[in-house]
Amino acid sequence: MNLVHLLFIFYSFINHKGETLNLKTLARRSTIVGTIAGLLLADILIFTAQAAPRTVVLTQPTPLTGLNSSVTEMNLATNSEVMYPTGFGFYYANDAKKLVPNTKFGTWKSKKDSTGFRVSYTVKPNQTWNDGTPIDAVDLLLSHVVSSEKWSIDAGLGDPSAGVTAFDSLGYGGTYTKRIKSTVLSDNNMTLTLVYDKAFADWDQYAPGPFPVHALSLLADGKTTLGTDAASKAAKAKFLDDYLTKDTARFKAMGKIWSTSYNITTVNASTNPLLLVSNGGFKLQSCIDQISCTLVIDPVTNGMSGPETTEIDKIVYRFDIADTSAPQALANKEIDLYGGQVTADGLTQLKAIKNITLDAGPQTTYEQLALRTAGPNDVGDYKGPFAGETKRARELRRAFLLAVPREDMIQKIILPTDVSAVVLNSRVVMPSDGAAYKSYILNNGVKQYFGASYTARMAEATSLMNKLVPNWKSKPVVVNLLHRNNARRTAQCQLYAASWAKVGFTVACGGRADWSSQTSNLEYDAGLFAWGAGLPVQVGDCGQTESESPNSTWGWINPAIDKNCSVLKGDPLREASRNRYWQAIEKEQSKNAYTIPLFQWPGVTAIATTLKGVKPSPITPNLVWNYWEWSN
Amino acid sequence: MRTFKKKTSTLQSAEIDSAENAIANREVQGLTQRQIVIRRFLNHRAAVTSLIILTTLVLFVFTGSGFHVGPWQIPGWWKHNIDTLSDLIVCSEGRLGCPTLSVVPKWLGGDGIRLGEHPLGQDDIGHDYLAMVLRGAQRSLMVTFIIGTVAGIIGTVVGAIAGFFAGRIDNVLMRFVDFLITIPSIIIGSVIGYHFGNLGALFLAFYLGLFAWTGLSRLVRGEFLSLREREFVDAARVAGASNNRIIFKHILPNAVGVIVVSVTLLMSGAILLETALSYLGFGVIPPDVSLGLLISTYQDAFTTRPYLFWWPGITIITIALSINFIGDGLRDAFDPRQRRKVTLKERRVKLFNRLMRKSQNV
Amino acid sequence: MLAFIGRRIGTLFVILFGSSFILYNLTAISGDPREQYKFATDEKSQSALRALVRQLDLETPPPLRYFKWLEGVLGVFYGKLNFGVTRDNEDVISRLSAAIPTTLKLVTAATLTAIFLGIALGMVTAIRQYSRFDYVVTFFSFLMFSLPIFWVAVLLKQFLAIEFNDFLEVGYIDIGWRILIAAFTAVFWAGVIGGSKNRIAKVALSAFILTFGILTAIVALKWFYDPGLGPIVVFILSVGIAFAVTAISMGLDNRPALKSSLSIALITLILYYPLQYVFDKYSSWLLILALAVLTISTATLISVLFAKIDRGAVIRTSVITSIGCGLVVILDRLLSTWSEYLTLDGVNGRPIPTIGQMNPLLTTDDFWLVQLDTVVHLILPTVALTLISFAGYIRFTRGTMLEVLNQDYIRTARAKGLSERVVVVRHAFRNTMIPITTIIVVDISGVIGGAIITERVFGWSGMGTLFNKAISGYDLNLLMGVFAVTATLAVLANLVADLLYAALDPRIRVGNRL
Repeated sequence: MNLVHLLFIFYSFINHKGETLNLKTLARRSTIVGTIAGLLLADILIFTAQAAPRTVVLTQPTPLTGLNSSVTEMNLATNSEVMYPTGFGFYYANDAKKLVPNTKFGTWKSKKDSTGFRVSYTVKPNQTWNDGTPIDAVDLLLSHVVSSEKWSIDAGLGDPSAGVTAFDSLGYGGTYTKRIKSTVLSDNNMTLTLVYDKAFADWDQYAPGPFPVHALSLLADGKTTLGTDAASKAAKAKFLDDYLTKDTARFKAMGKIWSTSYNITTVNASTNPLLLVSNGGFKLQSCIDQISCTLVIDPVTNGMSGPETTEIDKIVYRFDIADTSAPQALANKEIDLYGGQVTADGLTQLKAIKNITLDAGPQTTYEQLALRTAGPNDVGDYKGPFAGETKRARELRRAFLLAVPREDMIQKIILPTDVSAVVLNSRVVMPSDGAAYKSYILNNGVKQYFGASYTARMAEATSLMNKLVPNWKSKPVVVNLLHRNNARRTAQCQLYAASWAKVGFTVACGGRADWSSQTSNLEYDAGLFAWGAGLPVQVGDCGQTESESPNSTWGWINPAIDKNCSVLKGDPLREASRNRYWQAIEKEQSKNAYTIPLFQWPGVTAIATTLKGVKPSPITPNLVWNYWEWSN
Repeated sequence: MRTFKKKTSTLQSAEIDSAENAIANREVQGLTQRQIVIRRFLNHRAAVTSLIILTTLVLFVFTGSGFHVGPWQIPGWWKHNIDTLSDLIVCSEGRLGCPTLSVVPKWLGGDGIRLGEHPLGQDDIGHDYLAMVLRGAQRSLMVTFIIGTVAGIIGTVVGAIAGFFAGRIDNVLMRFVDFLITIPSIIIGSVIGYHFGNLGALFLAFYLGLFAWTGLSRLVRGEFLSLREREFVDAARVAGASNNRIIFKHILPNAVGVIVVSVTLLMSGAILLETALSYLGFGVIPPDVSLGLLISTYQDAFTTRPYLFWWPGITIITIALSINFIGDGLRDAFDPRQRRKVTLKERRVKLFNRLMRKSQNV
Repeated sequence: MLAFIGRRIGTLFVILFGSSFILYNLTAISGDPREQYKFATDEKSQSALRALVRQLDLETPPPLRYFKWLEGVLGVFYGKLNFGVTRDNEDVISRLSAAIPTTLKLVTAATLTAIFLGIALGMVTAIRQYSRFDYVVTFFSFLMFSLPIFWVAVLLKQFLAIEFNDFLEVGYIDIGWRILIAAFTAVFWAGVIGGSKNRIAKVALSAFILTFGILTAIVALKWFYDPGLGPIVVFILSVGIAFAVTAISMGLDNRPALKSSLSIALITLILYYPLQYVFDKYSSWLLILALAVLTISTATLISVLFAKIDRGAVIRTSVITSIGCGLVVILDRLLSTWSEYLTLDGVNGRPIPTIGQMNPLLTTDDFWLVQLDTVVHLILPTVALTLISFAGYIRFTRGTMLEVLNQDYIRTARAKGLSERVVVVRHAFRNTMIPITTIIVVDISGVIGGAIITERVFGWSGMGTLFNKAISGYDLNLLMGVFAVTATLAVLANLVADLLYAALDPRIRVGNRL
């Protein structure tokens, strides 16, 4: 419109005697000027919209901070999400939170004998990195270097448990470093055998990931361009030699590169290509700091070490897009794929957009209500209403939990934000796990103790209260509830409080910003909070439920739970028996009315209708895990 | 109404000028300063309308949802309050909690004129939205006035002292202002929120007021620095007036225009500051409500459940607009040299005269 | 004077030291960066937690840690400035140096527009106090001022971006919309120009017909797909600018000024095609800069040739005209890139984005395409920021101007027969600008701090985003980095404002204050 205004200014100049014109002349003149102006401005060009290219644009809530997501400070979901399509390993995790073997890359088998527990990882022959260097088991060795504390100390790189190490790796300090004894490389360099002292739970999650060690070796030599085939081969041989001789100086140099040089957020033509050597379906083409990363199909490695991508050519990640901006960006066709948490109205808005389809994108995070029975790890002397393991305390807790309007909560707060929300009946297996969840909750006790209808539960709660606190109508039990002070938690608390008030509990809502440091504050009798989880592990949530565990802040002391946990922490179990122990723990929790699961955190995935094959997974990488199945 | 368009009319307009001033002077002859200000203010139609609207709004929200006076709770006339939940009303297409207010009469095809159970609808869990808007408006008004008062007083006093006494006092005060400017008030808010939990909206308003006066004080200081050099101040000093008298009787009335405009901007800015802080999660904390919190919570409801967004939105705009217009009127009223406003009556007379002239020409 | 500035800067350091110390410790106790790992039990989180403690030196008590931080900051004096690292182990300085230009890009256009529009409208409303125009502008500016930015953002995204792009896909403006827009334009111009009823009716009618005609022509000729101006429109606009600038600054009866301004318009026309060639061949910021210098010096030269007396004013007039003409030429060049931009892979016929500061799918290096890309990404945030911020300037300008217009010296100026234009431009405007300048200086220093919410809703990552991130993640080093920039600028701006005030207002006895 500015142009029109400018023209008008001009017009009023040539027409400064306007007062004397009559309307007819004025109208005629304006029409003529208008038409002439229009004609002058115009240059007819038939515009045709192009067909949608084979590109997928998706959003990430935070910007990329580095390319190596195994470095301690770089453990951001975004980093792994962006780098995922650039690499293949022995397995990948699917949307059912199961590890899927990637047989195109290699296979593994385990063997128990007198010397310990051996797992041999064999790399399939005839695979290369995208610079043409062959992939073999030497590329798996770095995984050991950045995970084994013993190796680090032996090689003179420092003691990672004391915080001194050449490789700033996340891998130290875990089960791997505790169990691993040695590594054995086969003669043809295609098989790496990891020797553990004994079998342990979830050992299959510790498969060594491939890393282009020749590139690391060349980088440590100060190279800034890709090596020739011979040079790369020599570099790899040198790495193996250094590994076997534990060359401290060389590994210190490589550690420095590994820990710092990959921490870049800008990638372009001037980026050292050695940093970008990869073996995935896609390769990193460019990254603009804080804004975006672009991956393009890698003609060399696509389909070589994993499933082949055939229908898309480019994946673009856009960073820092607020959840509230996503619906309009989708409507404006700026992005094709968005996953996140939206409000009820955001979801309605998304539903109204024509060119997208919605999918539930549930998160592994789930909400629970926990009651305090004692000070955490027996710290302090808790004297609140729910204290102790007596029958009375248990029944009072039970009355409190029975009165939680779980269905109403789903109906009013969660369902409007999640297309597939249901009442959560487990803390270990989630509704998004499908059939596994349905069979699991048959025996985990939550339904058994809290599965009745709301009316029936309220009736039971009332009769319990009549028995325990006969004068509850005049003198209700005061309960201090801890929760974070955001809008949803407050609404949730208010909804519950209204129901609790009906059975004689007075609960004031109004959370705290520092709720997590208040969990050990004995003023609070109950807490409303969420737990998150990644790939399922055998110990389940023993970390939070076992007595005396550092994360058990609600003071539950229960020998039955502890017994089950000690089994789970031991030798690997089959899935069926692992489930049995988990169920036993949950049953015990429900029976003693310690806690109740409420709902799985809502999430939604919006997918442009042209984009097919997206199956959001609840764990990282959650949108791109099956990128090879996409088409746009 | 005069326009400065043609050079030839300059002389004429200057004449009108003095003529108008003469009328104005005659009109205010024998009146005290206060009477003049009040009279001038009452002549400012937009300001008076705004004052009426704002007063009505204040009365409406305070009587509507009730308020605390010390330990006593004065109940409001509206049947719902923000602490109780009622069942969600089911309306068309399975939607829940939509407004029952209807203003289209039946004979026009509407639902008839009625308030209904929840005139402005309900939120997700069944709070009555009118009650929330009433309480929110109450909170926002308090926040606005507290920030305005605290910042207005501190800013004016500090600016006046610094500007009038200049020299070392000015230097010390202004460096303190510099110091305050560098500290983001959000940080103070989050420190307080983290360590003391939620201290409530009024406390929030108070500490925001403690940080919001810096710009005003600089402005007032500038004004004072310039006014203190003027002849009438010298005259007053020669006549033996005390500093107090010079500040309050001579300089302040001359600076009041600037002060009033910036205080009103500050106040309408305060309501937006509260909104912005609520949006970022540092403002009023639920279960307490403020208009800012309501519209930032329901910013997505813009198209989907517009009533959740528009009512608090419109209230914010009404408050901000009326405060600004009142400020406008006050500014004009306080300006000692301000030309009197041409009233409607005089305009009619003028028009009549012109028509008469025209008919004579014919 | 120098001693005064020196002393002030000395005090500045003391202030910055004090406030940074307080802020550092306050922030350190306001939250724990370890919060997110509080309950994590998995191995990775445990080692990430250990790394975080080591990297942010969380074992050291905050007051001591402050001095370690200060040591790094004081490194600025020997070339080793170090603000530490963020919790993501990124160098704070690199974050800041990426964020500052982004924020500058975001707020510069909006701030300039707001100041320009605000002062212009403020003056007009003051001159025509209590006119209908005054009321309308006052009302709308207050209205815009009262709107929260995320509200404005949602509306703008819907109408200026999504609907406009949808319109481009169809290429047709509904007749109802055309009438509505034309009617709006008519009301606007009728309000601005004012006068007798007859005159108002004429103005409104001609504005209506003109707008409607142009809109129809645009629709009929699909101007939106290739919207260049062409040499003739550029010339017409240049002449318009020449007239307007001269009329306001010198009066149209000042022949030398008019002549030199018009010659500039003529030169613009003559150089139109050569310039297109240069633009296509050697476009870069350096070229634009060189051309700007060339334009201004040509304008100066021309006015020296034409003007015998009052040279300074004529030079000023022609320079302003030449800048205007230059902007029109650049606008024309940008517009002629439009059709190419529309067909780009990542744009795909939907040019106005709702989010982001650049199109990540843009693979070209072409100067004009990149600039146009920046411009389209700036449109929404600029409009939003301008709308909500110009009310303040209008009100201050109006208030100050009214005060000035009622002063005796204005009366004297009028009485001695000066034209109204001279009274307003030479006498009133100058004195109005004194307090406004100081406000502007302080405001500009403030905008570097970033527009937190604007950046968030439009998906830009500048200083506001950093600040927000720092606060929500308890990222102390990052927060202090942002603080160092904004606080230094704020106190410096106050210093500059004080100096300006003393320099501009002769009534203030400088010596007295120093």
